Amino acid sequence: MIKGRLTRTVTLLAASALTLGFAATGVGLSSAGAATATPGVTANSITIGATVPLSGIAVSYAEVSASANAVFNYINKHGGVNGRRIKYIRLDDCYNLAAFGLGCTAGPSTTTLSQTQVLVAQDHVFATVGSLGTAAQDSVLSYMKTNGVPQLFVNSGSSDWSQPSTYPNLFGFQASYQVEGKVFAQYIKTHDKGKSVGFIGQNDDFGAGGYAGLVNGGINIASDNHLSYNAADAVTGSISDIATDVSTLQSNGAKVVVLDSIPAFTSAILATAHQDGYSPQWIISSVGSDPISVNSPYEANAITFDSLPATNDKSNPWTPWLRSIILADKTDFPKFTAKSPMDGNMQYGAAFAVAFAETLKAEGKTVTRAGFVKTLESTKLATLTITPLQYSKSNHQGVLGGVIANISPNGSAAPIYFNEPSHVVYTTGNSKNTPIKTLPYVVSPIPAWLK
Amino acid sequence: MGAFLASNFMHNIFGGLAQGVIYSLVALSLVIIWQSTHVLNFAQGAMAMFATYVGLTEIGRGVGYWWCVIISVVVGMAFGGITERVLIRPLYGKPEINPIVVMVGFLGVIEAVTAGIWTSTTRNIPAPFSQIYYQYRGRLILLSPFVIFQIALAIGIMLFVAALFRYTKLGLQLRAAALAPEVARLLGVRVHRMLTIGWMLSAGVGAVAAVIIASGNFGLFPTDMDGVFVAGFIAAAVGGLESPMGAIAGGLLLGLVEQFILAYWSPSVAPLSGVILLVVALMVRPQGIFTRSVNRRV
Repeated sequence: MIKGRLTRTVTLLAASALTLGFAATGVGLSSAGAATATPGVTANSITIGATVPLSGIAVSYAEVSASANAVFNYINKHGGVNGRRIKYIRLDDCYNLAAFGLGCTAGPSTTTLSQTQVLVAQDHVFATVGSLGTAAQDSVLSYMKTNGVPQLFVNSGSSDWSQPSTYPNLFGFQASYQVEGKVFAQYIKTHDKGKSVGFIGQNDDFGAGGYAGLVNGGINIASDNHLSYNAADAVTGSISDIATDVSTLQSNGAKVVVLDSIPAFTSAILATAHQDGYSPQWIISSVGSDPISVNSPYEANAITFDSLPATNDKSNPWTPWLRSIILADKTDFPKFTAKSPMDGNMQYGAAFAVAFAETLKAEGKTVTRAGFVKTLESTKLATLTITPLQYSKSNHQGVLGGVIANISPNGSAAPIYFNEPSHVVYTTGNSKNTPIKTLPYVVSPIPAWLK
Repeated sequence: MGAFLASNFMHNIFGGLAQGVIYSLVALSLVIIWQSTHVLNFAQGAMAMFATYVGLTEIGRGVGYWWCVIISVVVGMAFGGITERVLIRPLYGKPEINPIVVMVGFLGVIEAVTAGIWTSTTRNIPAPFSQIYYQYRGRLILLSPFVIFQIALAIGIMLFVAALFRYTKLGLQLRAAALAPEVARLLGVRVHRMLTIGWMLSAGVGAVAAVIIASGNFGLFPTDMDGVFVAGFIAAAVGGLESPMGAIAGGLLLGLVEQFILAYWSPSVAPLSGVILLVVALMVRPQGIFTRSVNRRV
């Protein structure tokens, strides 16, 4: 009895103390960046940040920001940009799923918002660059807007990032999932005409966008072939739902299966299908198809969409350039050797890092947030992408197209890699009525100052 | 004071409390049912999730947030009452495994039906209060208006339940029906009705926990209560299934232990902290930390 009373009293006391503590200290919301100078910018440095998964279910993407960091370090070693060294702070947000565990080491109360607040309020970053995840980045849109912090090159194919009138400081990087879906639709109509199509997507805007693209592109997917998984459902070692989804599609007789999944789930889906003896034509979103991340022999011959050079394309000057940078300073990739394969994540990180550095270079000695955004909207950027990267006042999406690539078979010596059999770049808009057009395949020369 | 609140130690305290109150609520709802009907309700999380769907998806139709919360809780209570009446009552007096099997099956049914009605796509529910953390001189204090709401709401619910049991006639009848059903019946307590009310109360408390979860960062989806249910179950077992206060303490303890293991020991151990806590608690006090008597069944 005494114990029960004691507990009640303690609970009450704790509650009161909490409430009173706040009233007494008068801790209030203080707005970040009260300083007069541009936050994050000094005479010889510029601090930027990103919230990215460095642990947890989407950890394979950690390479993206590591590669960007390697490029920034390379630039710093060569004098920085206009005399400023780039300091890139990456914080682990576990794909905004920390509360679910999933191997996340950032703590259950860590969210994308809390980590973004650390970047903005404590580290005073100039901008976030290459922060990752559709749902994760959606959760900080209004915070970033309120604090006037540019949210650059969001690593996600959602079309949410191109809303210049509502979010003038927000920029995407890759082609939208709708565009990707429409290009896949055209591929299916040409190569797999009349075949039954199945779909497994992540149950957020990622899966929804890709599905909308397929439908807008004229593909009919029966409702019982339209399946999804929840990333939060993954339990270390076993991924639920996937087995049911795969066997449903198999028993429904789907001959083509489109995946809008992150690499861990792509891998699980392919492995499950293999176990079940199910081998449809896989068509996998660029987000979840990188062969090194997926690391599954069952991915061979799958189709994907790619806005970056083929990972084994030795004729592309950026490939050896990036290799040499990573090999020269292995801080970010300690296990990378001269024989290691390049992967899509490394290319992606390097691509937006170069785009950021170039814009900063074009901006000149005086750097402001408004000025940077204006420069970004008006500068043609030479980076790794195989389509021109040209933002404008109305386009904040970034890359607008890509090629159909396939995953090469797993040879005995070479790992599987992205193969781009034809250099036809497809582009289209998000809506149903925008036709698919082709663009020239561009290999931008490496700017002299980056060599 | 501000610097103290922004310290790493307090980060862990606040983080642990915010997580812990949710576990406590789930544990409390489990204990209410256990006390009244000696059923371990494995569908507790799913029932709460379903109720949250019914209420919170009304937001999409322009119904205000607080009305939606009320709808969720009312639907949750009705759902709890109906479940007891239809699924559980026929099982009274049968082997104890029967209701467990039924409720595990019910869990699967509820999640499947929910996905069938609303799809399994995560729905974002707007938080009623800002989730932006307070700051002290640029350092974050791991408390936001939403976290304070979460903690305050949970404490409010706990006090309400405690007051109901202790100070009201209904509470007395509920306790009597659970503790000595035969005697209570002889004294005029409508025992079956009390058991139904116990289930309603429990489901209502569960619905509040589910509303908090869905309104937080992670949105609403059919399996969003699964992990929380496991944690709540551990909390109830640690605190003692017979003791509401034990359930609450168990939840808070689990939240804090998770947080501190993560911060001061190893991130890879943190996911196991619930299990560790359970094992230690079962070794030291198998009847639960706060259970006073083990002789009730005699």
